[in-house]
Amino acid sequence: MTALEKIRAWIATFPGFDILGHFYVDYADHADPGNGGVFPTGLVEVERREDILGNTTVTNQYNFGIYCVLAKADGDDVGASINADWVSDIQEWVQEQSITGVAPTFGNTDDREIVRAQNGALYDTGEGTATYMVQLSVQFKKFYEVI
Amino acid sequence: MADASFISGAGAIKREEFKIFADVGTGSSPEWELQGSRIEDMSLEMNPNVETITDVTGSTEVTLDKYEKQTNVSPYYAKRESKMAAWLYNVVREEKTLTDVEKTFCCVNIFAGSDGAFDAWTQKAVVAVQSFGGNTKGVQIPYNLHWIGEKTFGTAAISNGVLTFTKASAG
Repeated sequence: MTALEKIRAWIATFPGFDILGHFYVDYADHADPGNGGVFPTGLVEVERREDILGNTTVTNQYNFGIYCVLAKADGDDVGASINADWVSDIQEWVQEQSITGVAPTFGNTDDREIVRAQNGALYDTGEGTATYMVQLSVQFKKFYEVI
Repeated sequence: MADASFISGAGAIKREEFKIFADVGTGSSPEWELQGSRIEDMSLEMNPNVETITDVTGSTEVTLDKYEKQTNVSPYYAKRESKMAAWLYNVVREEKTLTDVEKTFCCVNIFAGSDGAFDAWTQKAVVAVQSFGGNTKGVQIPYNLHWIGEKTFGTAAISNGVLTFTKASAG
């Protein structure tokens, strides 16, 4: 299973996920409330360390954008609050999943991996819709052994 | 003993070409386990004992009479499959002392000698465990080696990570 497939399958287990009828990759329909998408934004090598045997441990970070298109009319304060709560909930859920060790893993070491969902905010508004974006990052380590 | 003069080639020698193995065997023949995984800095500290005397005429004499060799193995992350980790755990558990904390190690210099016959020596060391526990990266049992006794020189071959040490013939 690829990293993207893992993330996609895992996000689908969020208890509030059922309000999204569709969850795309690199796409979200901004005109149709009740859909979303995951946007991979690449891998960043955070650190590379070598031990005295020549083995190398790299710390990598995958970054994703989670976009969700929800219903919200102009001036709809109640709807906006519900949507904002949903965005907060998914971020707290990601944090809990990461801390309790049930989030998916990507590395090959025993080190604890860190998944963060941060900076959830209103990204765009349309005709009866509001698009929210959450930045998701996964930090993990890979150990390359020299024989 | 004649100085070893069989380092060939040119340029810097990679750190991974000097390895220390611990004898973790429990039978009559040694079983070597490589030390140093996830350790970024580990040296054979020579700690030379240097004495400087200036006499009444103003002349200075410097004497180096011995080495108190020591190696700090830190951080040492314990692995379940490691026999050395199990041995260190028992040192901590039983608070072992004296000869119970002596162990034989093999220093292999891959840059010296030839393939399959690297310059090597074995030597005993007192293993002084410094602490047990550590941070959230895993259980750590860092230890210091205080080298004791005579070196036994020989050659080493490493095949698929398995070390074979052959003692040099006398004379």
